[in-house]
Amino acid sequence: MALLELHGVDAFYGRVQALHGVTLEVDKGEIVALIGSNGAGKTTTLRTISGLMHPAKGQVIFDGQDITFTDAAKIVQLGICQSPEGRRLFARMSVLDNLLMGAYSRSDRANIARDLKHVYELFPRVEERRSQIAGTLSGGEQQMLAMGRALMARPKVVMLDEPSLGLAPILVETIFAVIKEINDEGTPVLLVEQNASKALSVAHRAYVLETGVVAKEGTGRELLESEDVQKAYLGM
Amino acid sequence: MISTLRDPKALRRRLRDWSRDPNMIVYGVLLVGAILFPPIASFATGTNTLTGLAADAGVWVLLAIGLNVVVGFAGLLDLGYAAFFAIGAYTYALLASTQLGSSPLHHAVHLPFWFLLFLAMFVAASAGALLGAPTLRLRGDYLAIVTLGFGEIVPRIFRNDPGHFTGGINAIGNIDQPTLPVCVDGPWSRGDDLHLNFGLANCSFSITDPTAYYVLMVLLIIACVILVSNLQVSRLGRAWAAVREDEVAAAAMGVNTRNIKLLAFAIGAAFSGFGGAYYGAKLSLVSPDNFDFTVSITVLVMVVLGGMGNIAGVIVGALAVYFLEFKFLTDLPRNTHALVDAIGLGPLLDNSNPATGWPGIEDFVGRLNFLVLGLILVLMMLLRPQGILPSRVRAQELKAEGAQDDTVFDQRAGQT
Repeated sequence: MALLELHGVDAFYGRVQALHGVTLEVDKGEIVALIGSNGAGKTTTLRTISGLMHPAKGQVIFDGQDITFTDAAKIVQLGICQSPEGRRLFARMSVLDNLLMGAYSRSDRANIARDLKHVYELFPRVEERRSQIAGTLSGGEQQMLAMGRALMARPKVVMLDEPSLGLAPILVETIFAVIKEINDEGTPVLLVEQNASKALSVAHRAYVLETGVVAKEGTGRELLESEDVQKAYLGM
Repeated sequence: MISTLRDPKALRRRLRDWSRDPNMIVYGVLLVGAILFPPIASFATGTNTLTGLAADAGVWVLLAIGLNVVVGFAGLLDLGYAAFFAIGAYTYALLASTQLGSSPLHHAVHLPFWFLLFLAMFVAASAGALLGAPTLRLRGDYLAIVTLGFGEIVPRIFRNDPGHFTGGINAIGNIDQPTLPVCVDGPWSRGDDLHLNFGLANCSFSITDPTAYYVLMVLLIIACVILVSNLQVSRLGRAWAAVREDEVAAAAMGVNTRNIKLLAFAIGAAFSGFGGAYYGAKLSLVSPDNFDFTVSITVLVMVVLGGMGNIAGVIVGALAVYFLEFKFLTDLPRNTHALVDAIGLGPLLDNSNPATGWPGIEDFVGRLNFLVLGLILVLMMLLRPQGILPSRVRAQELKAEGAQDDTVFDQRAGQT
């Protein structure tokens, strides 16, 4: 059984159905990419997993436990952490406070201090800015902080929503390098991206969402070489 | 912050931050001012009326510190804060006077002040939690409207007096004066009064004396400031700030947003209850008229004007607004009269000519009081929108906005 599984999930915004029977899984040690165009349901899928919304039908199973209707706060404690779309930093709190908020649901002080050090190693820029308030960071620094904050929860799965959005190409490289590094340390990553070629090249496996339906799945390489995907998402 | 106590370097860094914190200077000045105020005021005027006024100002400082937790820390707009103040005051008034003797209970209750101070705090906090539980799912404007309604309802209940408990419009008078708790009672106190003569002729500390109330209030405020400052930098304080900044993101970090907001509401109400009990005891009279909408608004003005989120700023704001409203504007008509008289504009003083209908300058200025207050407030907000002493974050933000303009753009760029 995989670490995180979605089975036939239907989700609605009011009366509009955003997901139609989405089934996917993330296993230990994997980077799984979720690609698709705007409004395909990528963010909705993440919100359903992290408990910010609950599906009308289907199941979300994490570590063998049904978390379909579990509270967001509880899900964080179980070990799923999300770096949300648009980063959603706490703009008027300091960088350090943002990172500590990431560790909010933990009480193991000594380990938190160690993880803080680790995040600073991954993102030296974040350490330089630790007493600055988050809203004054540049876009790239904010993205690094958002990822660092997600890591501070010491998650069993980390979900990144559009980490490369709006960043300069050189920063996109840095961000993806760190995603690989996080994964090499053993944390599975569920990655939502519009930058499909970048995402597919780092992902072990990937799913293509189209208007709320999983249209295609396969290894990163398979999808990268697939003609449909190239046409629709890679602009070739 | 986490490893501060174990890591000497971090401790030193923290001490250095502390000494550079401009708030520390403000606290220092305030403390010295608070200590020097009573002797100077009584020396200058020969009475301790001013000290009594300052003790009243302290009540407002307490209220502002409490509302700052709700509005400044957690970002919840509460327009009915006076309700908790009323609840605290009535808790003390009912349980420390003969009032309940003429109620359906037929037994007057006289509990000690020191116990009731904390009971009032607890009752007000419970009221805050009760109001918060169903309403805190509302946001922004909607929450403001509900709290506004609550602020109107509570004093009205006390006024309408269902069940003949609160004395309604007649108010509750003759409320017990605080007496010293047994532990500090001794040969230096005579009966209920504490007389300490620090070798100064005109300086007798008695608990029925304004100076004693003043001392008590200063001690209360110091305790509250220490408490709230620690709350602000605690895990709870961070969670409040996170909820204020972005509720969804806070929930995604594992914050139970409903409980956190409820706690802010209850703690804010607790300070109000604290202030209410003290206020009732000092005035010895609790009337429903003392808790109308203007009280809630005045406290909010104090918080915003002082610098929302910054405790030292809020204290300064409370003192400034109190001085404006209750000293400067109250004395303004009389002072204008004196001024006009002195520069020889005698005809302006004349209010005896029915043909012109001129009420005389003193009355005229008196009628314009609130206009003057409004103008001063508008001016201050125009000149210093961040408050008198803004929080560190707000100051840095304003500096950054000037330095690099792309930050706001960057931050919004990703939000589709």
